[in-house]
Amino acid sequence: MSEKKELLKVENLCTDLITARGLYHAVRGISFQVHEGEILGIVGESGCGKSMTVKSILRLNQEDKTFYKGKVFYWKGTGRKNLLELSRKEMSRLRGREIAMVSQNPMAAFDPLYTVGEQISEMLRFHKGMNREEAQAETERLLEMVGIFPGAKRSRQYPHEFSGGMLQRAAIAMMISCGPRLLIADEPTTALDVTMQAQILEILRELKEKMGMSILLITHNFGVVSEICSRVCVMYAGQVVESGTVEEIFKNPVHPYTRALLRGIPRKGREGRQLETIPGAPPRLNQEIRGCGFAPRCPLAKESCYHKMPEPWEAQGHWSSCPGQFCQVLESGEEEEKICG
Amino acid sequence: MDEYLLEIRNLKKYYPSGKNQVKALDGVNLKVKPGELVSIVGESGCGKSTLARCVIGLETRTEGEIWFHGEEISSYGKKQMRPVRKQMQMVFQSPYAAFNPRQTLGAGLREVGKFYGMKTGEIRDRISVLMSYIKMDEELLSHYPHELSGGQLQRLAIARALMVKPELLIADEPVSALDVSVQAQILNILAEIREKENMAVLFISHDLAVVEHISDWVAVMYLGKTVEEGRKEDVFSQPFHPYTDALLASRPREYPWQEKSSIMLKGELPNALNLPEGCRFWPRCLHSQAGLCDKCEPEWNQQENGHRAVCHLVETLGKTERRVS
Repeated sequence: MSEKKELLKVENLCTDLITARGLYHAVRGISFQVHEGEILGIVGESGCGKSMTVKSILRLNQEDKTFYKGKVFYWKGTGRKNLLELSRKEMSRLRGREIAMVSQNPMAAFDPLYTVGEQISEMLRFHKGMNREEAQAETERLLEMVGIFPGAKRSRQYPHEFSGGMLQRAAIAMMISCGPRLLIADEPTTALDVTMQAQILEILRELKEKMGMSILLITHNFGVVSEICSRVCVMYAGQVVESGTVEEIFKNPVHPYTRALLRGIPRKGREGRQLETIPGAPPRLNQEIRGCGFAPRCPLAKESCYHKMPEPWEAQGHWSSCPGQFCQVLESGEEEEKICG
Repeated sequence: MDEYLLEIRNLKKYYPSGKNQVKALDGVNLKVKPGELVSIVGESGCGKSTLARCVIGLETRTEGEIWFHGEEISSYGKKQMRPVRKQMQMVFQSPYAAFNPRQTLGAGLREVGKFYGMKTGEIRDRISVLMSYIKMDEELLSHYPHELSGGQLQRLAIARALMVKPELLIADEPVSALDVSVQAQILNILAEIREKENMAVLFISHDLAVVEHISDWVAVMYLGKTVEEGRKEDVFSQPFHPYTDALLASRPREYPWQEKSSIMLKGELPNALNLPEGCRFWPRCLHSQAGLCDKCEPEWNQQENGHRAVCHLVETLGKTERRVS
């Protein structure tokens, strides 16, 4: 793991937002790294701060109402830069060219008044200084690369003439047009059918394999993670609670939250049985958290968990903010009850 | 006739579009037994939601029959539908849109009871039963919708639909907008209520894992038509129709160490304005045979346990082993 080169390293990032209803702690000290040429998945439930994290990395929040703490390092050439310290101008040169982002709603990525081709060409002309003809040719090539044929005709169409899945693919084409080294995909398949999801995931996999692109994939779907990610971070209440290779997390989840989430998924061979649910609700964003944020919902919580974070657990690249005492031994729910009770 | 609670016969719904027609439903047949959970799966745009809306009367069908409890209800007006709706209720995808933001949740629930002529005492008792089903505190009923989370609201939406003890619940993508842990809650609750109230459910979803988890019977829709139906275990373990096969294969794998499936469905649903000739799936089908599939429309091919599909090739493909187990 350590021989791989880091591309992005987030260290203890906190994002606080000033809102009409007070201060919101959207991200509460998150740390993770993305290595070159890997797909890192970030999973978590809605409101856990996944999207806020990527928005903070790209600094897309309203600047005067947002406070950042911590560091976001990005490696470029020989040195690394802290993105939170860059000027606005430097930041805007970086977006699209070095780090690009695909969002959940492809409709929002395109201006309805311009053709899809014009908007992709614009990227190429702005960032790469191509002329009109070059940009058009490149646009057609990109569209066909993501499976939109014929590129020439399709590039002259408007966003409303595309279906959701096709538009999402066009958004990916637009985002990779300048050859970014890091692609951030924020729930890219959530609004789509399984069949289209499979196609989009295939495109992402190809980008990684053929162009060596690193991808940071935000999702709430463990199926998507198991399909294409190499490593995964599980987020809860603005923090990473567990991280490791996908195999490790699926085989030996350590954190009680991860374990509960995985058990809540309907799976083959367990049809008709009760699915595990997590009692209670995640902490509110404006709430201060003392100790472990998951403690009030945790079946293993001890008195001390409410005051201070438990000692993290780590083994061979697999990290969890909680050792989850009994994890390694147990597989069946019954035994767990016995020990906890 | 009496064996089935709901029977849909050759249901068609066309929407005019310029000189043409969009064939949202193009001859759907479906039967639901009392107490059974029937799922309808398919890609978006295949007509799943239109079907649900036609059944409950939110859309008027163009052609076809809908039999409910031995009554043909498809031509009923608003007034005639009222007693029918007492036995047939619906839950929608977005719980946020389902409640009146200016009304407390309790008032919303009570209103339904009053509308269907329940007495105040009855309403109170029913609400407390329902709140125990959905495992929520009655205190929450004095709150307004914006104070609750999506999962809580969806549970209340289910409770509201059950106020009048319907025999059929139509659930249109009730868990697609929710997180995994919340989804699990809703599915558990649905399963439990179904058992306690002996209620049939018409469950509409595009999430195959969810469908496999809770259904008894599954119908697969493609472009306004059911292309395969059967018992859940039959459809999932031995799909007949190449479309079902492809749909199942496009699921993301459950565990990262499983093998990746190799069949992929290319492209997307063709335009419903302009349906392909012959079998409507042939342009995307891996097995389509020129001269057969693109010329004549296939018929239902029935196998054991009522498992059937509309495909010319059921016999030829029937015994191929599925690649993903």
